[in-house]
Amino acid sequence: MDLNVNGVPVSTDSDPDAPAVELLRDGLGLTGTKLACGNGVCGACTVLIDGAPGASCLLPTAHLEGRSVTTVEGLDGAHPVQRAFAAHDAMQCGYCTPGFVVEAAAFVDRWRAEHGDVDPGRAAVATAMAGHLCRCGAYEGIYAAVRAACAGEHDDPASAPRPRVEAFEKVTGRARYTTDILPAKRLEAVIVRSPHAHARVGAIDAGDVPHVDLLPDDRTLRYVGQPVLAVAAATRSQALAAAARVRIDYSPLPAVTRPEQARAAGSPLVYASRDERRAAPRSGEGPGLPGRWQGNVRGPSGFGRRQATAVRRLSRAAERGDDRLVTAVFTTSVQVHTPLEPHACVARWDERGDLHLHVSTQAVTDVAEQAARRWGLPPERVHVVAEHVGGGFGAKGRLGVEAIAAAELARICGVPVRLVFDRSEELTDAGSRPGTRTELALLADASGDLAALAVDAHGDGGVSVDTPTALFANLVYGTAPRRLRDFDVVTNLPPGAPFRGPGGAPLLWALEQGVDEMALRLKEDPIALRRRWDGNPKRHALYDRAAALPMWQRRNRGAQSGRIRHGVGVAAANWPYLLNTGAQVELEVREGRVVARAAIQDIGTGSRSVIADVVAAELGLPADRVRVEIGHNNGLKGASSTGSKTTTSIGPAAQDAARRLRRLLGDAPSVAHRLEASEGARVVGGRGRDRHGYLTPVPLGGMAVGRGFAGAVHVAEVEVDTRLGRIRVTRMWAGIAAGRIYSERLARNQCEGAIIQGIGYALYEQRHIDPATGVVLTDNLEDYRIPGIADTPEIEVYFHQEGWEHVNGGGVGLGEVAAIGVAASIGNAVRDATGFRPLDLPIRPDRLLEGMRP
Amino acid sequence: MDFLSPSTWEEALAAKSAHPDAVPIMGGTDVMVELNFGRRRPPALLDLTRIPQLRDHGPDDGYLRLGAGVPYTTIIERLRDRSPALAQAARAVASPQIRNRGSVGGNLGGASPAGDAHPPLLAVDALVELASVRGVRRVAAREFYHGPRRTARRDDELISAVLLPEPAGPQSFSKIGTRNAMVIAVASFSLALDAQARTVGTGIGSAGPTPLRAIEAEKFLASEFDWDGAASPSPATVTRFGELVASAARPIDDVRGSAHYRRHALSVMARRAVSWAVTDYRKEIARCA
Ligand SMILES: Cc1cc2nc3c(=O)[nH]c(=O)nc-3n(C[C@H](O)[C@H](O)[C@H](O)COP(=O)(O)OP(=O)(O)OC[C@H]3O[C@@H](n4cnc5c(N)ncnc54)[C@H](O)[C@@H]3O)c2cc1C
Ligand code: FES
Ligand code: FES
Repeated sequence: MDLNVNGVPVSTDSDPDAPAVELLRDGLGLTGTKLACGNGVCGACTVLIDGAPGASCLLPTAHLEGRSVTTVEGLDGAHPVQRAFAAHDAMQCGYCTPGFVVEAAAFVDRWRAEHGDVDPGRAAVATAMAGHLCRCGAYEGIYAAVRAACAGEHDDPASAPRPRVEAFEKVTGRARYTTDILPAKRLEAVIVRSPHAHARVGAIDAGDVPHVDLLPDDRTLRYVGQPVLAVAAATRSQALAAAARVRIDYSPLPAVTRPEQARAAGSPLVYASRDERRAAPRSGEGPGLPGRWQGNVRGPSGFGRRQATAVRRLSRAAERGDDRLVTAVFTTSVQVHTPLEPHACVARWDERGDLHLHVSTQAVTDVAEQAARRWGLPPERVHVVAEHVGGGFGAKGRLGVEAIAAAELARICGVPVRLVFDRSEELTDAGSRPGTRTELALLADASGDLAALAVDAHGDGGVSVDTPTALFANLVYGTAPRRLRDFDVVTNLPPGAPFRGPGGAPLLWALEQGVDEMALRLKEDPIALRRRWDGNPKRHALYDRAAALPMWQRRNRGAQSGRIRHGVGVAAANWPYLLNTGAQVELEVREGRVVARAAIQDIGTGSRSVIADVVAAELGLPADRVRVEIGHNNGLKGASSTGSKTTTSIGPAAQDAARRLRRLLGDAPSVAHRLEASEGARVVGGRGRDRHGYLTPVPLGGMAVGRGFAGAVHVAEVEVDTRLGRIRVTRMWAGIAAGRIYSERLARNQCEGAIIQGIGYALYEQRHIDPATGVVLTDNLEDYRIPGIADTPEIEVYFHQEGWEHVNGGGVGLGEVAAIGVAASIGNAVRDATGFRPLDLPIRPDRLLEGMRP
Repeated sequence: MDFLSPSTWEEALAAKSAHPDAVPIMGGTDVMVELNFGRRRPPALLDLTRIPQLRDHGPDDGYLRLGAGVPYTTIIERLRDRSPALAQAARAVASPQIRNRGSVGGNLGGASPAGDAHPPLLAVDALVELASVRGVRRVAAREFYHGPRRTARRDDELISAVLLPEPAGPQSFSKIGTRNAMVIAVASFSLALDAQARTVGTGIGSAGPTPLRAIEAEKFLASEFDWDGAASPSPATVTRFGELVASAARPIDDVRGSAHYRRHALSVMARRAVSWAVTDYRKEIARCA
């Protein structure tokens, strides 16, 4: 069969029914086209067929016969929309970018031919881009880029400034992700997963296909989708066929699939013995909290201040029916990370017995350390590579089953082995934010001050424990007495994982609505109340800004009638400042340029740019004289991209390294002049300590908790269709107090993305389980609904940069604090619009209508 | 798996007759999803994309004949006036990539109760043309849907076209999704008025095992509607119509929405459709006057 790809004639004998994306990627090596959902939903695989956009995952190869196909590579970096994407930073991880760019190129050309060089406005762009999903939520940049390209603002090839150093690789499809590593001689692996919610495994007969056992020590499976073993074969379809032939003896055991059921007396136990409990996976990222077990419930791990006082005040207030006592039970749904690049690993052992892992990870050094320990290798003999990472959000923080299985199979087979999750696996067993049920009690005294607070939170993290939520109520609203108790309720469902502000998002959903309710009871402006209760001076600055916003000033007061109603809501957030104290950056002069290296990775936050900008500024070099190499464990001390700590750890290290290099080279007349003569010069810079040190006396695993809390205030404006129960977030303001902003555009992009994910959490995202079987029903991106471009409100982000002078570098992380209060601000806005206080996430239309029923 | 790619209609019919279990594939936007996830491994695929007449459209004895393979994009861009409700439905389908390839024939072939083409086809009383080596027959869309994904099409038949009557009054389609775009319907509704016959047609999507009609609602509105002056129906009439539409649905709870919400959404869409119809009808009267 003949076709034309990017202007080049191609002949192929591929299977006619195989999706075209396979031919493009595996056959022709055009890996700019991504396969992310295989379902036609996400658009990452979009190519032009005779000029018209189509999803190549749904296109049988046969349909390309005689056609002309243009992939992102075929646009050659020369299309104005590619420059526009780079200039407006219309990306984070970049995994969705090629698909967006291809669609946008067709749209822009057509728009300009039909309308001339005019701005099409948001609505037209939203319609055109409806077939694309960006899990990072880079939609604001995408709107701006497409509109500007239509208006002819990027026709001049002289490149406009690009806030992100790797932008060009991302808009051209050249950025290589783990899934794009396709060694010619390799095997493809797939995982055989449990069909039972609870079962003991007997004999396994895999025939002569290479396989590795992935069972836990007790050979007991505790959820549907749990890995049993992995098999490898020459192609993925052969591996799938081999997997289907594996015979496994299961002895099913009784299972619990709902938290209410798990809590009931006499229900089947997920973990029957102490040893089993001890081996339970953990969903948190901290050191893990203690807790006693009672059946399937673990806890409480209790925190607080003057707990007895808190309890006494609350019960007395309840007895006397005090109007200043706010109590409610809030719930949140399990939210799945579902980064657009699935979990993936390509593993290889070399002649010397070194292990090479290409892995989609947020933590190259942690993965390397864990791999070294697992396979008994010295650290320098494990080589982890993550050049580009298509998102993580917390789900890719450790050595995972994809890497373990690939490495084991590679060892058995003596060839590289590639293992990539499909979207169903990604949505079933690759990480999710535990659901919660949170009982909140909040009491104000006669003068309207916070008198007592109690939070009991039950985490629903499937088989995993350690889902602290209530704990985070220790960080807010002064020192009033409080009792905070966290429980885990285990069920036979997939385990949770840390997800962007773990614990913070569900806590604030409850607490910030509670505070809002209190403001209503006290008849006080919700911002003013927070300002009174919250002693944090940095957030005071944000409250003042928020209170002055036109949308806040003009908000409706009093009950509304009519079908469409508008509301405005506010929520505040507080989040610990974490860092890797030992993070290092190495600089080396090579061929007249400075090469910067760090053992970090970029999951879309823009770590390369942080280093490049800091080094270039310190040395007075033009951007193109600094090259950043990250995504390897190169012997330097790194920082994982978890806990919002990469930038604050690596920025000062880069600064320190640059100062050292300047000292080494001397700067007369300028560093730039001295580079040519300094080939090979090398320095290593370190993070340096903060003034006054850290809250943690010694770093744990290289990590410390710094002094001070990052703060955020979100103000959301919603429009509610009270007849259909639909909510649209029309506008969102975010005030962020995280100190110095290393790169304004990249930081704003993070905050915008955080808002989009918060909107998903608030309105759409809900993992559904079949309670009878424990099967995850929402295992595709049609049914698990993440926000699309049309769900994006107009977003304004304000950075308050003072107050972090004690921190080396002056700035702390913001990726999490920018996310955790979003849903609560929307909940409060819905209450403002409708009078109905939403207690359960997501605020689905049916729930809203039910709640509003008189 | 065999891949049959006939280049003429006769060959296609012969192939379908010889391999009744071959799965036809047009745009592939349903078929490929199933293949990709290994949900289905049919013995053969029968590719229909090389048959030119499946993409034709034009007048046919008082009808608009729409080849089964005409993609949604073409309906939106070229056939808006001749098939208003269907074009609105086409616009509501997914995304540009899907609309460029997906077809009404494919929608009918899969017969998902959530398919957007079905409610308009029911409402306007369209015909579905089925062909086999045994001959050609036309089945009213209203007789086409038999059960969950089961239709009047026999195993050796292919869908060749749909035939849409000339619009004779206001038509509309609306759809409730779960997000602001790119969604399969939670519920959808189509309304078509025939000013000459003074009849009302309805179609309900995603709220039952098959696409449905609300026959009681049709009769009720036909008798209540002011066919001469298009006076606004009373609020009670509109509400009653909404209730009748909702009660014709047979929805279930699933990941997209609850049965209760679906009924509610249908009544809202039905009421709104009446008010649009009144406005359109008045405009039409004004234009003719
Ligand atoms: C991401 C995504 C979103 C979607 N959103 C929507 C939506 O919003 N609304 C909606 O209605 N649909 C939606 N769909 C479903 C699909 O796009 C439509 O059903 C479309 O109409 C199918 O047309 P097709 O030509 O691609 O069909 P195909 O996939 O080629 O075929 C579909 C079925 O029809 C059969 N078939 C095709 N042609 C014939 C024929 N001539 N004779 C007999 N049988 C035939 C096939 O065997 C198959 O069973 C969506 C699909 C995807 C992937
Ligand atoms: S991979 Fe094709 S649309 Fe998602
Ligand atoms: S940038 Fe879009 S998915 Fe990451």
